[in-house]
Amino acid sequence: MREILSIHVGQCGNQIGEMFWELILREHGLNKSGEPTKAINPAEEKAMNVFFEKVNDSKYVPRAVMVDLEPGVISRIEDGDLNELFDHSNIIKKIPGAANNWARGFKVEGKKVIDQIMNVIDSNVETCESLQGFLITHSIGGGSGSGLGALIIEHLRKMYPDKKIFTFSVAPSPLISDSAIEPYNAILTLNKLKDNADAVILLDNDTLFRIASSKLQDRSANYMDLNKIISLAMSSVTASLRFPGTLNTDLGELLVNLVPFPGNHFLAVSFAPLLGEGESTQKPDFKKVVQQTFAHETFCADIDFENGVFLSVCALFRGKATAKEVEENMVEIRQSLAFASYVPTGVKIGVTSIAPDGYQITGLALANHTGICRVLDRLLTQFDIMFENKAFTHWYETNEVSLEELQTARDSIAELSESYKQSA
Amino acid sequence: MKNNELQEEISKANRTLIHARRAAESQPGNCQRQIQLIESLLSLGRLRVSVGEVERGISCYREGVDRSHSPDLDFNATDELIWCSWMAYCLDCAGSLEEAKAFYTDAIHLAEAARLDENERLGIIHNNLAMVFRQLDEDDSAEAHYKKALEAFSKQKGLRSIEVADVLHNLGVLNYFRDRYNDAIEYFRQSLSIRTDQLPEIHDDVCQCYANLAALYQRIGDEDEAKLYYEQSTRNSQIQADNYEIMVSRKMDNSPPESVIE
Repeated sequence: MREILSIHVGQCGNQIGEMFWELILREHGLNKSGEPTKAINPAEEKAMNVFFEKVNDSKYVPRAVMVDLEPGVISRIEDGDLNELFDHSNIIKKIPGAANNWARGFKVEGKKVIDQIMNVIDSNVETCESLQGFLITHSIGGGSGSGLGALIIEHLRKMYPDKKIFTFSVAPSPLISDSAIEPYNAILTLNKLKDNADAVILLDNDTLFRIASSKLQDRSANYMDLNKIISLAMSSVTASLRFPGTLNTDLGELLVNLVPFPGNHFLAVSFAPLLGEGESTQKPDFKKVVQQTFAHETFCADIDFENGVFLSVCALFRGKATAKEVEENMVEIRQSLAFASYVPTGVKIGVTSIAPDGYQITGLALANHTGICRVLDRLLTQFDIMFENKAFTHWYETNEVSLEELQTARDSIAELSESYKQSA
Repeated sequence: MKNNELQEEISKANRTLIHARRAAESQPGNCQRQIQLIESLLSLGRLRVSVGEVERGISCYREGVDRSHSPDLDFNATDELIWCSWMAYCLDCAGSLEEAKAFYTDAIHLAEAARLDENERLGIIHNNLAMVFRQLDEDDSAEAHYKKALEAFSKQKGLRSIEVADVLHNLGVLNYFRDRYNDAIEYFRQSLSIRTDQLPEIHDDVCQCYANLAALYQRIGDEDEAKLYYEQSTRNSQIQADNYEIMVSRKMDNSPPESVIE
């Protein structure tokens, strides 16, 4: 058994988590209480054990820890459709919140709650036969997901040095901004992710908003639409860990294929096709799915494709597609992708037969592209504009984060961005 | 207990903790469930420390102590004192000296506030706190707490108890490092007197005193006395007093009892 423990931190992290679990419940034939809706064969049970703990033959519980410094979102989940799904001893909700401030999440409030969080995590790890690692969802622009999320990841690295840490990290954008100090929070978190995570799948709110809006005819996109895209991507990234397939059966293998240099573990993900409201894939066009998967506008982060190159790519197709079909359609794609001169131009490909609920065929690309520096540079620019004038920095200094710490984080991410540019 | 047995105990304690959390979560206002959760945390913490997972153990203790401060819970002072001193001991073993100092000090204040002068842990707390101060180079405070440890043990265990001998020995070490050689000699002599009385003739602790006295006499230039004490110390082959080195102070075991709540 190769279990994965999911940890959802903050408002965004828990909203994504809620949608993710709803999706994979359906994929594994479980209802919203974690009860099987059909007979489960041994192979299916083995697949489920990656993300679910079997309590008895009629009950499965997500291996999930949910954390927030304010109770609102988690309380809503606890009172909603999934109120009988989660193990409530794995839920930690506190008051009064981090006030959108990384320093409060990491230092002040985080310090008070980190022991309880790590004890809950330790308890969950103790029940695993052979834990692979951790999957974390959070945003990096707020206070809890960013600060407390960074603190948790730092502790995980220290306490579990040989376990893999994958994050789905939502980066802030000026178009959908909740607070002026998001760039500070983002840079501070990215610095911790650089040092402590094994792979960070960066999700850009701007880009997600654009993708979601392109599918909606009658209304504007909202956070639920963005979270749906993220949960579909998460489901597909983890599909090869949950279902039999030909690609990368554990987190370690994913890393070996995707991360060529230490520190350069910031990845972009794309998912296709995205269905609009009321849309369904009655007649899947596999060639179109492959093309959409690798289309620049499908990637969930603002990648500079023109001035960058791929360092590595993995593609996973789910549903009714044969290996031959995949290979034939990938020939043209392989030739079109610009790789760094020192890496082979191969694309690691996998196929699993189980598509996400509501889909017949899907494609996912997980890419390490040097153009990710555009996201980093955008955040650095926003950071610098404020930091040069020391705007809002007193909120950090009064919460135990010094100007020097802010500067160090900034320099570290600037160095990371430069390393990506050099890698091209 | 063997390592495998300890690991099984940890798994069992972990399952107990999970059940306790679920129970406490389902009825947040139920004090008994909160207390059971705290006890589960502290039990698991103790086991983790015993297998060397000190940080994880401390994490359990911290959460337990934090929960015990809830205004809804009504503990007696003795229980609070025990938990506080456990915390201090764990942090001390882990090398977190400032945190250990804070918890040892809290434990002492708890004892004073509740007038627990006769509590058997007080001597241990004062002795170990003195050692923390010594490591932090706060020798005046170290000496003060060693003397309080002496006072506590004298009352609880008697003037000629082993615990008194141990604290006298620790005072000897402290005074040696403060260059107060005559005071150090006097403390070691007193410690030796009790140890030769209470312990077998050939015993590590007895030999330790002889070795320390040998070192001290050499330091003050009395080679004849030094040689006499050195010969006494080497009667036990387990102790080698090479170059008449001083032995270190002794921290006292502050392991918790099996159960706090009856």
